[in-house]
Amino acid sequence: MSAASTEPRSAGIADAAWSELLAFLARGGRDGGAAYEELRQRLQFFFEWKGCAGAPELADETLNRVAAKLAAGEQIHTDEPRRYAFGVARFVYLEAVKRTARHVPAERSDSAVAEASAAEDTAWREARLAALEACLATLPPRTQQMLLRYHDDDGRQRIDQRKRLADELGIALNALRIRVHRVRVQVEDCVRSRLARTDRRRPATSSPRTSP
Amino acid sequence: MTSAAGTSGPPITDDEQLARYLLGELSPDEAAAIDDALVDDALWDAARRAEDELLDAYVADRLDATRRQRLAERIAASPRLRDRVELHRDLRAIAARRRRRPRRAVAALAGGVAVAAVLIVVLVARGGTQRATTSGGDVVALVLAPTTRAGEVAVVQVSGHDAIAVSAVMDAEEAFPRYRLELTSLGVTRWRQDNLVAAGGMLTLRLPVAVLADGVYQLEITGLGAGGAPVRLGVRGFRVER
Repeated sequence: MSAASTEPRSAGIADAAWSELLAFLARGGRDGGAAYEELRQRLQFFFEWKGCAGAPELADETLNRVAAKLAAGEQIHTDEPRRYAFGVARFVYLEAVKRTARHVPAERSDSAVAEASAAEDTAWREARLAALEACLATLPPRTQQMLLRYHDDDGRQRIDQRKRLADELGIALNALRIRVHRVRVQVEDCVRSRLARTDRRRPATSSPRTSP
Repeated sequence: MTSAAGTSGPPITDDEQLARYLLGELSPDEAAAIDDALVDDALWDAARRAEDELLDAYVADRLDATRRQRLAERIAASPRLRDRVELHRDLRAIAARRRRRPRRAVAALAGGVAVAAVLIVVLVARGGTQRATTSGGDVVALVLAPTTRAGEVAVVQVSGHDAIAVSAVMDAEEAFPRYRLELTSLGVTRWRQDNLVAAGGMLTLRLPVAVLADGVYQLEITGLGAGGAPVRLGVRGFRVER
């Protein structure tokens, strides 16, 4: 088991329970800290796509419950800790459904996304675009070109453009999707890392409207 | 003592089935099978790619209304998904800007001085889907298409409404990360908003009806690039009447 004491942990897990949890997750044959991070991502994904608000907190709640069982001395006999955690997650989800409305009201959601975007201030958006440009610049030229051509979608010839790109690379369209996905994940991590260094918080409210 | 649930192989899935899973379109049994399979690395990777494809389609406005709404609900509830939407938008904006650079200079010289004639759709929304989420009052919506027949001017009746939402339908060639909309009348700026982001292929300016006297207005659209100079994209006109 890895101590992985520097891994971020869910709020509310005591030291002893945390160690138990990491040991449990390491049963899958991986480093406990890394397994924890990956499992938390999957749980968050699960809750998000169920339409739950507060998905990160629900993922933490799931992990807290597993940790609490372990800390209480409960013997969990499985070699698949992730599967066990997902079983717990299903209960957490059902409770969340009972507790709150599952979705943002339908008539508001699309506009809420647009308004959230519009509320970003100029400096933050500039910083984000600059970070993306910088991250793109770290890619090999052909990779950068592939990523941008994939996203250069004028809405009319998207399929043809992407097929042409796949042909040029000598791969199938699905393989192109997979390749682009991997690069996009890499770029996303890079952007997140750069933005974290700016030590800047996103604005939560206030439209940048200017009245005369 | 607790035992793990029984295991079985991951369900056979394709892209469309995963999209349906993410959007909540599967039956409970089908969805539960994929829930279980999220522990499988191959399916997990496929599900994340399916997420990417959905966000890509959302940003490109290629989803039908039902799916768009379902996806918007999930995006609205998730800061992570909102960040990912922004990344997709930014990638598209950078890609479009790099493609457009040579042509943009010519377009800027042309000045965008021709005042576009407009094709209008006037929607009077009372308690319908066009109700603004923040004003709390009735909104009259005016949608301005890029250009059609010269000489036509949209007329919007604002009597009895608290606010007006003026939307400009954007051409795909006009993609910028953000925009400025400026509403002028008789050469005087009446309202201006920076940092707008196109949603669903449209830019929308919302303002109180009381701000606008009867008369002709021009909506000037300016694209704002990352660190670049503003690019004037055009002007659309309409008339306000009570």
